[in-house]
Amino acid sequence: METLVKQFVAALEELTVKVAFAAGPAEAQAAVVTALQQRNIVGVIAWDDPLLDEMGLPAAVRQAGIAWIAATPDMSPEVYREAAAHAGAGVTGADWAVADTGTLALMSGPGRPRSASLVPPVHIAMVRKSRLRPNAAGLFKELTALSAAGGIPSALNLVTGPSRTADIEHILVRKVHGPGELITIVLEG
Amino acid sequence: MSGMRDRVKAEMPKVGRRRAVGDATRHHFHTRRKQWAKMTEEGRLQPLRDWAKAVKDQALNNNQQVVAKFQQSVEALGGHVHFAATAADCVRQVVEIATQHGAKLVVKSKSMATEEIHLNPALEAAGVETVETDLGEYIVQLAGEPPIHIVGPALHLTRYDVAELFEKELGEPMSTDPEALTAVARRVLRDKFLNADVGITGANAGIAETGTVVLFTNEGNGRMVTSLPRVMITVMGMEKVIGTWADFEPVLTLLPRSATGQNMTVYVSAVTGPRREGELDGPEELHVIVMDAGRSKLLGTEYQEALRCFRCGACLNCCPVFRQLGGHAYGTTYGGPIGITITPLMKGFVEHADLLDACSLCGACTEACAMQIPLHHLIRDLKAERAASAYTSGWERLLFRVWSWAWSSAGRFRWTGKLARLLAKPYTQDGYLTWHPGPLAAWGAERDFPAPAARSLRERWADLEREVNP
Repeated sequence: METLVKQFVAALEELTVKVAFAAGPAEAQAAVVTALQQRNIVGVIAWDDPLLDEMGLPAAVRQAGIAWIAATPDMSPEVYREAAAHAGAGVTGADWAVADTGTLALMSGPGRPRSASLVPPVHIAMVRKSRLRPNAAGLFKELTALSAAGGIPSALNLVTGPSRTADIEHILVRKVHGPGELITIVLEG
Repeated sequence: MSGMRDRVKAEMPKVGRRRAVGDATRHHFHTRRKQWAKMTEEGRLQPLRDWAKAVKDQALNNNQQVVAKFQQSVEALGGHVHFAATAADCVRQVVEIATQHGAKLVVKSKSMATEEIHLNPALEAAGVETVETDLGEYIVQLAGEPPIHIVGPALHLTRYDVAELFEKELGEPMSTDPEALTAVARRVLRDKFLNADVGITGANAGIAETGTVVLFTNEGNGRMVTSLPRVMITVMGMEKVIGTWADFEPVLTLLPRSATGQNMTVYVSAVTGPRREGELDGPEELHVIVMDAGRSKLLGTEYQEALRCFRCGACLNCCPVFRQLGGHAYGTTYGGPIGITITPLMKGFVEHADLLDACSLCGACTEACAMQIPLHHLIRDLKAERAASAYTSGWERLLFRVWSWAWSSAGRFRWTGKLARLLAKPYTQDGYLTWHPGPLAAWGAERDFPAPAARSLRERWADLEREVNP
C-alpha cells in the first residue's frame, strides 16, 4: 500500500498537484482550512457527501469564517450555479484514484454536481487510501463491475492534474477553463 | 474547389507558419516516441495496440448491432439518438434541435466531426451565435481559418497573431504573453458557458452497453459544455461506438500517449444520459447524432481498417509531407496520411484523388499508428485504383506503358541507359546535370541531380568478373 501511495504522490507532484495527508478528521480539517486561508478564499461550494461530513469539514470551515455551501439535492439549480460561479474553491470527494497516472475518478449524482470540481479556480479533493488503484486496469475492474450492476453515473470524470493548454506557441499554461490548482488530500482508511 | 497543386503553391510561401508546423509536429513526434519507448520497456505497448485493434475491429464488423445497442442504452435513460446519412442531414438536425429550443448562444467543445460538416456557418445563418471554446479552436474561429492540425488547431499562429485577434474581437488592448491571453479567453468564454442554451460536442468514443459519450479535453471546456447548458448535442461518427467499458481501457491508455504524449489527458468525461433526479447540473435534454457521411462506404472493404482511427494525429506528426505543408494545403478537414486515405473514400474519389499525391509511400505513418492502420498500404492501393480509373490522363498512362514496355526486357533496359548517358553528356558538369528538362525544372532549381555514370554497373561488373575469375 505504501509504495502505491508513494507512486500516486509522485505522479501528482509531477502534475503540480499539491498533496496533503490526513490520518483523521482533525488533520483533514486543518489541511482544508489552511489551504483556503492561504489563498484568501472566503467561500466554497462543496459536495453534500458523507465523506466530507465524516471529516467534519463543513463545521470546521465555517468556524474559520469561510462560507461552506453544500450542494444539497433540494437546492435550486440556479442557486447552485450562482454559488459555484462565485466560489473560491470546490471541495469534493473522489471515488477512486489511479496511482500510476495521478488520476482521480469523480462520479456525479445527487449532492455531487459534476461542475463543483470544475467551475471554481481551486479544486480540493479528498480520497481514501483504500480507494487507490495501481493503474488503469485496476480502475476498469471497478468500472466494468459498476456497469454490470447498472451503476454508471450520469457523469464520470477522470481528472489528472489542473486544467491546461498549449494552444499558443506550444507554451504550457494552466487554468484555462477548469481549476488552475488541484489539491488532493489523502485520507487513511 | 482548387486542386492540391494550387493549394500547395499558396501554402509554400508561408514560411513562418510552415516552420511552426514543422516544430510542433516534430515535438509531438518525439513525445509520442518517448511514451511508446516506455510502454515497450514495460512490455505493454504491442499488447495494448493489439487489444485496441481487436476492440475496434469487433465493433466495426458488427457496427449495426453496436450502434443499435448504443441507441437503446441512450434512449433507456431518456436521451435521444438520431441518424444522419449525410453531412447535410446532420447539419439540418443540429440546427433544428437548436432552433426548436430557441437557442441564441451555442458553446462547442473541440470536434472534428462538426468541422467536417461545416456546422458553424449553418448555425450562424440560423441566427444562433456559435462559439468554439477550445482555446486553439477559438483562435482559429476568430481568424476565420480552419484548424491546421487535428490536435493543435492554431499551432501555426504566434502569440502576436493571437493578441491581434483578441484585440479586434474584444476591443481592448492585449498583452502578448500566452498566460495573459489564456486568462482573457477564460474570462470571455466563462461568460459564454454560463449563458449558453445549447452545448455541442464531438465524441472520442461511444460506449454501447451504457450509452456513454466520452470526451477528452485538457482545458476543461468539454466538461463545461456537458455540465452547464440545458441541452447537449453530440455529433459522433458512426465508427466511434465500441461495445463495453472494458473495451474502452486500451483506448484510454493509448490515445493521450499517442496524441500529446501525456500519460493521461487532464479531463476524460464520460456522459451517460441526461441529468438525473436530484442532480443540480448536466444537460436536461441530450441528443446524440450518429453520423455516416460516407463512413459506411468503407465498411466491409479493405479500407475499413482506416475507421479504427481515433484521431490522435500521430500520422500527421511523422509525415514528411504534412511537416512541410501543414493541414491547410490539403483543403480538407482531415489532412496528413489518414486524411488522404479517408477523404477520397468518404467524400468522393474523383474530386479528392489528387490528395494521394501528398504521399511518398515512406511508411512512417503505418509505423506511428497506434491502431495499426496500414496507412501507406491503403494509400498505395488507392493510388493503384486511381491509376486504373479514367481519372489518370491519357498521356500519363501512355508514358507508364512505354516505360513498362522499355524496362521489361534486359536489352531494352541497357539501351535506355546508353541513351540517357548520350543525352546527358552535353549537360554534364563535374558529374552533375546542369539542365533539368520539363517537369524536373522546379525540382532541379534547388537540388543537384547526379549525371549518369560514364559506365554502367553492369558494364563494370563484366570487367570485375574477368578480374576475379580470369
